Amino acid sequence: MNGSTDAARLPLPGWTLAFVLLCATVASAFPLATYALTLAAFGIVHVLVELRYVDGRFSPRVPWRLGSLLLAGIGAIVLVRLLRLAAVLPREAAGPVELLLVAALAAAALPALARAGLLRAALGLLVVVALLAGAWWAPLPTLVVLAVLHNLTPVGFLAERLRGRTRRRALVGAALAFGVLPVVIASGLPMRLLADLGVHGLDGGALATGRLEDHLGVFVPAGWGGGRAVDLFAAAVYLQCLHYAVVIHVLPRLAEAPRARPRVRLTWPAGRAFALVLLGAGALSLMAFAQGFGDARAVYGLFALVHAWIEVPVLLLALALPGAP
Amino acid sequence: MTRSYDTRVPASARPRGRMRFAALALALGLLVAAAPAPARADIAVEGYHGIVQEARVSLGRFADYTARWYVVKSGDTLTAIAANECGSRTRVPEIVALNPGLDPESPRVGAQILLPPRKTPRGPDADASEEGTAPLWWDFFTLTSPGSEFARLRADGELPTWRYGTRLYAVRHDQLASLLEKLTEKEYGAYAVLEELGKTRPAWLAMAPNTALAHQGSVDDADPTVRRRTEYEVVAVQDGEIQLKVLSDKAWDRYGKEVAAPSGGAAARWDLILAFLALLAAGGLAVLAIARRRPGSLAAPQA
Repeated sequence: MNGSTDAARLPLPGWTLAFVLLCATVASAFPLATYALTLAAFGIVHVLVELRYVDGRFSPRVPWRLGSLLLAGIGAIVLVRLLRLAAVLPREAAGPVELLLVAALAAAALPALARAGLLRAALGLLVVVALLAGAWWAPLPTLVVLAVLHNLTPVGFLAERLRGRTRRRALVGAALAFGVLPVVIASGLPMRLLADLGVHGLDGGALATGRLEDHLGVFVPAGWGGGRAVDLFAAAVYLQCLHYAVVIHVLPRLAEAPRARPRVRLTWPAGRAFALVLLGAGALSLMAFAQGFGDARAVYGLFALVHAWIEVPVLLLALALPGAP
Repeated sequence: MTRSYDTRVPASARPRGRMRFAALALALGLLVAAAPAPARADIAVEGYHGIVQEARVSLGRFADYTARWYVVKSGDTLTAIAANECGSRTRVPEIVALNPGLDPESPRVGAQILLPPRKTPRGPDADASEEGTAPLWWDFFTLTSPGSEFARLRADGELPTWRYGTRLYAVRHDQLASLLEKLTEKEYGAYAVLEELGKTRPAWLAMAPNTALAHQGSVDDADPTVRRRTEYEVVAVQDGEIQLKVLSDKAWDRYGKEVAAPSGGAAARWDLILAFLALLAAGGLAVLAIARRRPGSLAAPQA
């Protein structure tokens, strides 16, 4: 698969620019409604698509034993969340334990990174230490920051997958869309401009979400941001929109056909069947969120954590075990 | 040498029945998750709880914005107290207003008097002409300050964490009853309170003893649509802390029906756990159905 083929698979720059600006506008004008509706409609869909991409792209490179170890770690994190829902584990304890397990997942990639070079090993170690420090000093803010950073993973996937000129162009575009525009949104200028034009709303739109203040903590740690908390939230919502769009629309186009026998690989429906599964899952997710936003989000979180945390070691391993373009 | 395998199955050979079964299993699982959740077992009691709890809350950097007690020492004059403790000798009238019966010329040594806050921040609707009145609504009391330090405060014991969405108001205790009566007449929400704050402004004294607080926010992270309101009485303000007693603790579900606030820590959410397990089982069935179509695809590679 060469660079020109990849370039043809990427969306056209004009459409991409229009979509990015639309996301920025909607997230700035209606942050809670955008967050709620995109989460309800596309949250579980993007989890399935992203998991399929990660599975197809990376699992052939991961040794069976390491893959099993990672899956066991993910299972342990799910168990921690379930224990928290069962009120067995207090919230104050669940956060640090979850972060410790994520640090363990990252640490599992260290031997491979060490074999690949000192610099990569140091980077991996830095990630592990940062996770441990977060678990010790400020677990809940660390989890929130990681939730925001997770929205940047498509940039890592593009950097890992693309090559040559296509890669450079994609990364420049990603830097603007995932780096510059969120800062502009976080400045609050777009929100104030839109509010002056009368395009502004802080409620949850069609979904009974409750008030914006009750959701700020999803993306903005308590005590952070001050009066800017809503702007920071809007920037994170914009990133969420981009994350969903790249995962659902772009990554499947770059996914390769299975060439090597998979190792730690799940089976996925192919083609139209997978599209139907996504459609059904999205529709039912929307119904569940409409019925009870908080409850649906709690259940969704159990699935979302799988794809979010598995990507920590996977992206580290990608540095040590580079794949074919 | 890399061994390659083509695991694709021709479209004509795909058993559509199993695919439908997989999709049906997944859909059923999602339907189970989307089904109405049973009533939460922890919400069973209704009504007024009385004084049931006490707590101490650190005010952090807002300590300067609270009224506080002061014991008059030998040689003290109100002018000196106002200058030293309140930052300006022009605040004598505020001290007099706060302490009915106090002799402004010669305060009794050993008397405990109430001092106004050292600092008087301006709220959004502050009126500079109203000198001598304590500020009524400050940023950290009201809804526009997610991320303020006050929102991070945690009460000890079983009181809820004050976090985003917390709205904390101060009102003089003798006005609490009438204010809350009006509150219940209107739609439950912050704006009614704020309207009332604006009307009763001159009589307000923030965070002083005999002050009542109303706190409202969501019950927990799991369901932000369930609202909770707790009313406190400030028992004492000492060394940057306020000591509170809970007067009442109520909660409403998203349909406006009053339910009891949880009395303890987080309640077990077996309904969510079951929904997750049902979805997981549905997904597992779907994967297994597909795996039967593609034998060996779940197995570990042979050496």
